[in-house]
Amino acid sequence: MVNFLRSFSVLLIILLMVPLQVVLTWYFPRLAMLDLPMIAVIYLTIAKESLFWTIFSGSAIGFLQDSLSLSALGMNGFTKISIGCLAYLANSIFAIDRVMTRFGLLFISSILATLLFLLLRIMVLNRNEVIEGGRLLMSGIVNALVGLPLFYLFDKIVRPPNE
Amino acid sequence: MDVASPMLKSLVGSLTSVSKIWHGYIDLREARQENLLLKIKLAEYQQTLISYEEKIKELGRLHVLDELQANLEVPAIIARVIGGDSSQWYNSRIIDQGLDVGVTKDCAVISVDGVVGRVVHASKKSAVVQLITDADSGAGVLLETSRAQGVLKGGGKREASIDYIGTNEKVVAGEKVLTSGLDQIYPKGLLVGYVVSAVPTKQIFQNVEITIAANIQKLEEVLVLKKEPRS
Repeated sequence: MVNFLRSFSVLLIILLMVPLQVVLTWYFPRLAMLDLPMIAVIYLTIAKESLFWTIFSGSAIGFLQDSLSLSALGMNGFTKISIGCLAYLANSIFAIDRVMTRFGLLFISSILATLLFLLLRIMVLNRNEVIEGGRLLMSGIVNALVGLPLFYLFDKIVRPPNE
Repeated sequence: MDVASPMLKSLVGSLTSVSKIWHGYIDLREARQENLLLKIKLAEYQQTLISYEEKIKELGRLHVLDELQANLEVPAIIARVIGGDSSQWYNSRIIDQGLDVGVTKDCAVISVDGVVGRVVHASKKSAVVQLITDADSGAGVLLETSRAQGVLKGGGKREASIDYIGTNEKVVAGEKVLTSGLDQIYPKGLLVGYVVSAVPTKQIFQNVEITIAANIQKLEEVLVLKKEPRS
């Protein structure tokens, strides 16, 4: 029963992140650089230590995000799965349970997700994109700073107390 | 009697004073509690007042939209904005009306101030609107005085630019920018924005920068212009 509730809470986190992002960007347009769905995918990857969860959460969140956005269907899903796989790889090499490693993972993932998304826009949608270094770094820092307390919160919800 | 009465008098006086002090203390305590209750009630009333003020403002906005709706040549429906974009790369809004009430892809969306954007996805109960400020958006526009026609390109923020305005056209700052109707999405004559600057280039077109009339960041209610003709 407890395990079921924990799995249910994981699904709830997945489902809540995208609507939360939509509401946040409406009320606070400056928070657009925050990528809550990406933070959720990274967390689920390192918490569950399973590629199934990476692909499942990445595709579900990406699909939901695409359906509420102007991006072509699949672009966010591809980005989220790729970043999730990177997090899975990092988690198998380093112990992603300390503040600094988590900060580093979130920071790097945010920058790579942005670059990957822009690359997809250039290659798939034939857009001319300008990569702004300052904005890229800022979004990395913002995502890492918001992600850390969220990870702590998710730890309390998802992980059993004895872990 | 002469001995006892002063004592009795002072005793009664003391008791009266003590009683007064005690009652004063009790009253003070009650007044404190009453004060706390009144403060809570005041906060509740203030909250109610704020919600009524918000309702009055909303009714005012809806009334203006109703008037605008009645004056339009195409049928329109009022929708509420219920969300922003789910990623940082696009400028879009989610509205609470969809296919159920006739909101379909490419329906124009306007506010009392001017053009807002167009519907790009529509589900039964909601729709995604691409804002006119989105970098991927485009709209056929014309300048009110010079009648020069061009294509509006979003700039990501409240600014936008118009492409394909020839250098021989006289463009004045402050001139109104209207929809031309040539894109088959926005009906002709809707206000889009105002010219901020026009800089001639060495090529055949000039750089025309405009500011969008609609306050995109503070959108709450919008009008969706339906595709079907008014019955």
